[in-house]
Amino acid sequence: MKFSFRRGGRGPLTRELLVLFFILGGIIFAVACTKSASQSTIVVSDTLLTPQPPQAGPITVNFKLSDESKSLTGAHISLEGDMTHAGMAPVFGEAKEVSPGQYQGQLTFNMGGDWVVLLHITMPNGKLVEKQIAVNGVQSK
Amino acid sequence: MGCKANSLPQELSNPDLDFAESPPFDLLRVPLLGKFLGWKHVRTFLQVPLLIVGIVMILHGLLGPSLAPKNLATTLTWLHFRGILALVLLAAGNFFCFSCPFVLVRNIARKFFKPQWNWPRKLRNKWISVGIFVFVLFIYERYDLWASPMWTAWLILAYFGSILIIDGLFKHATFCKFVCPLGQFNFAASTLSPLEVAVRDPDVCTTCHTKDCIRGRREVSPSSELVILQRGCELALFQPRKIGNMDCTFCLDCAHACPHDNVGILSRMPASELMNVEDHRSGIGHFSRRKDMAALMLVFTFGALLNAFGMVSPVYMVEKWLARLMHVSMEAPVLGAIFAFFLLVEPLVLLGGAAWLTQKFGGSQRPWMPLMVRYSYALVPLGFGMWLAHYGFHFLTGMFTIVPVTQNAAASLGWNLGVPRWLWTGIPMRFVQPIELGFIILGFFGSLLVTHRLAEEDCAEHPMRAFLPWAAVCLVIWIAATWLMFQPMEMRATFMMSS
Repeated sequence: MKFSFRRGGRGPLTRELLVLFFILGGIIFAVACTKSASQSTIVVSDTLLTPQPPQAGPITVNFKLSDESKSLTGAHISLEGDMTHAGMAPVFGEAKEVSPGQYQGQLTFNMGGDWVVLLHITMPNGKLVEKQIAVNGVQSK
Repeated sequence: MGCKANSLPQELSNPDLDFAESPPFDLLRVPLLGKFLGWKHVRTFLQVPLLIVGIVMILHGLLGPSLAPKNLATTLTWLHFRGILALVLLAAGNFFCFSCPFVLVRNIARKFFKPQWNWPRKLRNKWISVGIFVFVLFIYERYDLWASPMWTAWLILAYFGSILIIDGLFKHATFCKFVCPLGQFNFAASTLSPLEVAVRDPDVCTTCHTKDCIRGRREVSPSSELVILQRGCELALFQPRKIGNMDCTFCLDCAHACPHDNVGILSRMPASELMNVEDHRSGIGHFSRRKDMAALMLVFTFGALLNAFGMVSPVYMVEKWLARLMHVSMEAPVLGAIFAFFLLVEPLVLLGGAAWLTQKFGGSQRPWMPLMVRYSYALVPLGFGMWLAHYGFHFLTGMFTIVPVTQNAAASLGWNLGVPRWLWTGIPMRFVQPIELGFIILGFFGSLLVTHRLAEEDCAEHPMRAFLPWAAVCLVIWIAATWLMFQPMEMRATFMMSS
């Protein structure tokens, strides 16, 4: 006598669900393996944060923007500081161009930990680009 | 100065009987809700939306933003799921296992791939799951899973894969009972839940000859196949001899199988089953003889401290100090040392010392190891208090973040749900901190209560002598938990950065 968990008349639907699950799994796997990085030519360099080492509280972010090795001038940049852990409120600020291609902005980190500063860059031609600056190990006050 | 054990009146030594006078509340008898929960397909009904959410989390984790606060995989897993899970365990019972989407996938797969083997007898214990529990805690810290949507998505996929492999090969609910670390967490925490799946009237069971609650109901098909009409308990819990929530997934297979409608979701005193470690439990045996079960309870308790310690400022000083001491620059060995301290050295020193004092001054006749095993169950309320404080903190302070993250995810698909409200977070910390403190205090008193009851059983003449060493252990853990709660939180993934 064989054991069976099958109940009469339910086979086709479950078979379809199973096939669907495996197809979905295959898609997830394939896409995950082929996921590529964004193709922006904007480069963030000469990043300087003060104070050093970074501490909770007001922090000044200095950075240089270049596009295909040329300084990127006239960009509008809003700053967003996020913790690497979900659930914490982000902090916001603006960066101003202090010299051609050189930008400076302020944020207030409200707690210690690992932060990421997002640069929401609006290029002079209106194109939107997003860049990240990792600020690891911000110390509690 | 020996001490007589088990000299308490029966009704005192068996706390499950304390409420025998008044009929317990039965969730399955609540109008509408009871009918809904008693519906044969209720489990699937709840599993399907969770499976869909799980698939969305996987897709967003792999394909969405790489920043954790903007991704559904990390936000839902590390904020909402953990917090809601702990709160539901506290307020009701093991309703996550009840609606577990992994089991739905397994059930579908089992329509086609019938398991052939029984789980090896030598592995029918909690050692593997305890090891995986520790492993998951370790990789959570080492690879900063909370900060990585991609690895969080792979963790969920690994869960689906594991249950398909294990339960595809082995019969019954092998994965749930012997492997699943999340299930073990739920089992341990649900010992403190106010509800349990239990027999309504034990007298009905004495006259029952079919035992459908464990065997299930089957019929022989015309082709001589034995068709299972209704599963019995896949976790080998025979209702009339089942005590408490340990190993119970709340699947209600027993309730559906019972031909006498004699199984309900009944109220009981939370933690009462922790006071009853000597009685034989169906599918489990004696708590007091299960070293593996005690190890699970200790990992559950001390792991709660360890997991919270990984998020506060002093951990980075300790890590740097250990790195210098060990002459290493990699995090894994340093983290390994911290894990060894929290999960081996600390429990051994605290429980070993208390056991020695209980023998020496309490006059207990029990040997050292059985004493440690016995009282390890008393620490579960404290551990659960700490998990509640930790997970509750993240959930309550970040509960509304699901709104902007969902808005953002929808926007990436071209669906306009409004401008993401990134400033929507949750309840302010100043309100959440007293709640955290309340959970830890509640856990502390729960542990003291269980400890005292066990001490009364141990040494009826001088229960205080047996109680005090274990109360001191509870106090040490409570002080550590409270200290941790007031440390500045620093969710760092990079301990060597500023060294």
